[in-house]
Amino acid sequence: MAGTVIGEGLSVEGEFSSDEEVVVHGSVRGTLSSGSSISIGASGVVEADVSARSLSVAGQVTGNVNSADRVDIQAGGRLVGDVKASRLTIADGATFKGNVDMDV
Amino acid sequence: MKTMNDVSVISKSTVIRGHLRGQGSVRIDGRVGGDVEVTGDVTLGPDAEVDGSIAGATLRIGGSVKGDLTGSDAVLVEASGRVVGDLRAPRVGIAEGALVRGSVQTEGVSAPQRPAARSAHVGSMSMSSVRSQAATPPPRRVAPPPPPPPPPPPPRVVSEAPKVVAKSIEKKMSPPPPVVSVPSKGARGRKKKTASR
Repeated sequence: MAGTVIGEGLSVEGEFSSDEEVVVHGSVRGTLSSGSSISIGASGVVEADVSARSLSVAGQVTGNVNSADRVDIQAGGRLVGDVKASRLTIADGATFKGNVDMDV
Repeated sequence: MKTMNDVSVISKSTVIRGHLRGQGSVRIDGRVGGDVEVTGDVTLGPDAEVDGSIAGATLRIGGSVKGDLTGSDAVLVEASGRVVGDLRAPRVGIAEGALVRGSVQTEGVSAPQRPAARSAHVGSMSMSSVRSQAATPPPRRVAPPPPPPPPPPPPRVVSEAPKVVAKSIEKKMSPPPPVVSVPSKGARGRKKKTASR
């Protein structure tokens, strides 16, 4: 069971931080950070700067992403913003617009 | 994919500084510094802290809340719950051990009359007890009356009289006699006795 779940239909406005896994099916506006992984479900809408150990995007994210480990944009996922991560995968069918910094 | 996507959980280590709004139910074990407003139920775990008002269908409060609680169905404050704020719902329940400071209002037609009245009574009872404990200032300490001046000890009064005598003798006689300690009453009495004999 995931640590924190923002269900579909729920919206959070403000600073959101956690040490556990976060799953977003609803919407988050502001900032979103976790010491663990964050996954944005297909119905999830995030308008926030995201910082996490790893990030998986199946929904929509608008904002800059900072990840210590990896960022995965899945098919159907949409990410608009700059990505700073050591690993980045963009699946076929994903939408992405922004700069990538992979700590070369 | 999850089967229950409209159930939200704010876990223990999660901190939200802002508002939570929307549809579905929420379980909060972490901290929320802002209002919570959902259409479904809101459950606060024993470690949950909410600094803001909460509105929902049925509110189960096991944690601490600083804000008003409004339930369209019920507000239930569990034994581990602590609430500073007003409670408003058709059914209000306050468990024994719960701490509540604020006003309680049971209203609405959706709930049966008897349980509502009973829970309201229970609520107001524990309310008043909590309130009286919390609101009544500690009794002001009454300053003790000043102690009566101690009566002068009798031996001192006695010793003063001979001093005067000695002084008058001093003035008349020349040269003045060497200063000697004033004899006590007992000693004088003994002297007189011996002199009379």
